[in-house]
Amino acid sequence: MTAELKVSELSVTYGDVAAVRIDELSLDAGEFGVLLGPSGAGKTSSLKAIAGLLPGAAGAVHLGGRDISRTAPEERDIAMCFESYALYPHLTVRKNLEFPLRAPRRVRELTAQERRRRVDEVADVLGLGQLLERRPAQLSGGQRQRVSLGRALVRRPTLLLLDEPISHLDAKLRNGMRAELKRMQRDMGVTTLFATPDQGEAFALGDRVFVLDAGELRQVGEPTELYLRPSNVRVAELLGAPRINLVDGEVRGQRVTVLGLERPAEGLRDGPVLVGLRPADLTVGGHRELEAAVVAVQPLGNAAIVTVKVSGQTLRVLTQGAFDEWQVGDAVGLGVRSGSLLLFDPVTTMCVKAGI
Amino acid sequence: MTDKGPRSAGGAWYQHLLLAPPLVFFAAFAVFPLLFTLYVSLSVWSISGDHRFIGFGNYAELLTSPDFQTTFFNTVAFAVATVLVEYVCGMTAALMLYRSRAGQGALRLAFLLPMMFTPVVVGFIWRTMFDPSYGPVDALLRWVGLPSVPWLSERPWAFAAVVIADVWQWTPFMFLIIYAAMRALPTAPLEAAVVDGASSRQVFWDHMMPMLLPASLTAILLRTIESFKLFDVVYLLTGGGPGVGTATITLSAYFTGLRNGDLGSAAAMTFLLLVVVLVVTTVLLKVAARIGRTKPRRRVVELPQTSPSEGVPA
Repeated sequence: MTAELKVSELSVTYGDVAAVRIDELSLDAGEFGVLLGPSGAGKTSSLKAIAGLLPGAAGAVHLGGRDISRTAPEERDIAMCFESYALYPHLTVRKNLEFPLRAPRRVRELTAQERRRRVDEVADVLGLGQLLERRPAQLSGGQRQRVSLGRALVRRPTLLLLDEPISHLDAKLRNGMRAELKRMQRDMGVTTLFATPDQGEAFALGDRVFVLDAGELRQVGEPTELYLRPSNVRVAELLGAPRINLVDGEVRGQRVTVLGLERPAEGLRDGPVLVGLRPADLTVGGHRELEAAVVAVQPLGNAAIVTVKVSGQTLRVLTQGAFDEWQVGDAVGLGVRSGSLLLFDPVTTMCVKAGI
Repeated sequence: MTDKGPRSAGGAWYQHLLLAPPLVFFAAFAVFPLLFTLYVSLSVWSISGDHRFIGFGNYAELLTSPDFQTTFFNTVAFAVATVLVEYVCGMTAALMLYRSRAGQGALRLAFLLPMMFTPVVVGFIWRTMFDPSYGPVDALLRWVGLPSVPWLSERPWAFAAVVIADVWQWTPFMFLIIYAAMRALPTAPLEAAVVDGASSRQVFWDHMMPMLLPASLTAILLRTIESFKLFDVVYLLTGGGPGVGTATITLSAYFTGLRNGDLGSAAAMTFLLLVVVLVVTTVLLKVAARIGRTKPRRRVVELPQTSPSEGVPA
């Protein structure tokens, strides 16, 4: 039922514009992959191409070792949840959920009673039991999202493609759905590719994260690995909230100088360097290595983002605990956790050294 | 109510006066002609101006006249046949264009071309096409070895000829509305259906057709009203013949009133037509409203039934 996915040399072009160019993307059977990228990165195009919905797409898609590149979308046994939910507006929830089971290639496998039971099962798992006779227009966003998910799961697909399915839900619902999604995916063991612009979802859900930017894969790996050792500036920027600070530094004689701070940097050539500092690796207050001035304080409840100025550079700092301690204009000490610096080549933007 | 909103019927007299110009126009160009026609239809009214009120005499005469019965039947039959064929053809053309990848602009223009001709031109075009001695249609039939057909002079063929000409001219109208509605359909549910494994037949019948229903009804309604008034093409193609074999109500009203000078009977005919169109339109609008109501309706919470009589103590 579940199978490994291997996509190679995938390209999608719209007119003269190349929207997606992915050399390789593969998922093991039952793995939860997250396609992370900002809006416009080509996530939806990639998913649609894998589902076979884009006639302009080229490349090979293997599912369970079988080449399905030339298979019609209705024969691919791939289920997809669309960003807009794409429910059938004129059908009730029950009919929506049942529709995939009535497809020509499946209609003979199941009797009417079996279809009914499958729909009831899925509705039960997703808490849709009370809503089966309603139409999509009578549902809330969260309920629609569940129906869309249920419609994808009801036929036990080989591959599940999810296009930002929970991005439009409110924060509380989103957290609940994340957990539910992860649990269901693990229970069913279905290979899943989940597209999202939200790095938090990538951390929470992904066994493996594919960072997509401007149509190309920048890096692939476990979320923590991508966070600690991003291969380039874009990946560093996309993972981690608040966004990483990038400041100019200088390498001279195996040492890097940044904001008046000095750290060893063996093996690096002399010259300018871009230094990445995670807001969570910075601390303010007390007597620290650097002198800074508070420019802005953005409270988050249990934490705060304090923006400070150090030798002409603006930095975001994520502080824990009390945030009313800091006032705009305060002079504070700024600490940098050791082993947290990321160094990037300013020209190629590739990471040249991590964790110093 | 102490506070009268801007929509309340009260207010200063000049506010009502501001409505006068459109009301005057409405009265002059809609209400007066309608009532006047009604009055004419209840009179013996010659084109020379002599007239005498006779009540429902004209109507009684018409409803018992076999010629008018044929004309009436023709009108309804033309309306049903042309609208049905035009809808099917328009839908097919729209679907073909929707699914084609290239050439949409040029094809769309080509599809619309017949609608741009004036009906008189259409009448002449098809009169030429169906001409028994030099018409291309008969030539084509002879070429494939079929017998020649008396297109314009015998009843079932003349009827078909009128339908063909009308369909040729007005299918583009159906096409235009349906195609526009098709292009405006949300693509995601259709893509979802494909991913869900639906055949293209299922995508069309299970999803596109229901979503196109409101637009379909609008197109059908507009074409139905128009086709009840069919005149030009019949006039030019068959002149209503053979006999009154293809005559429509509008055509015979024209002949009766303006050729034979019997304005009273002609007015009665048009009034009967108006009644038919009103009934058909009302029915179609009711159907449209019922379909539109499948959208969320407020759920009435079902409470244990108490009849009103029980609620009121004796």
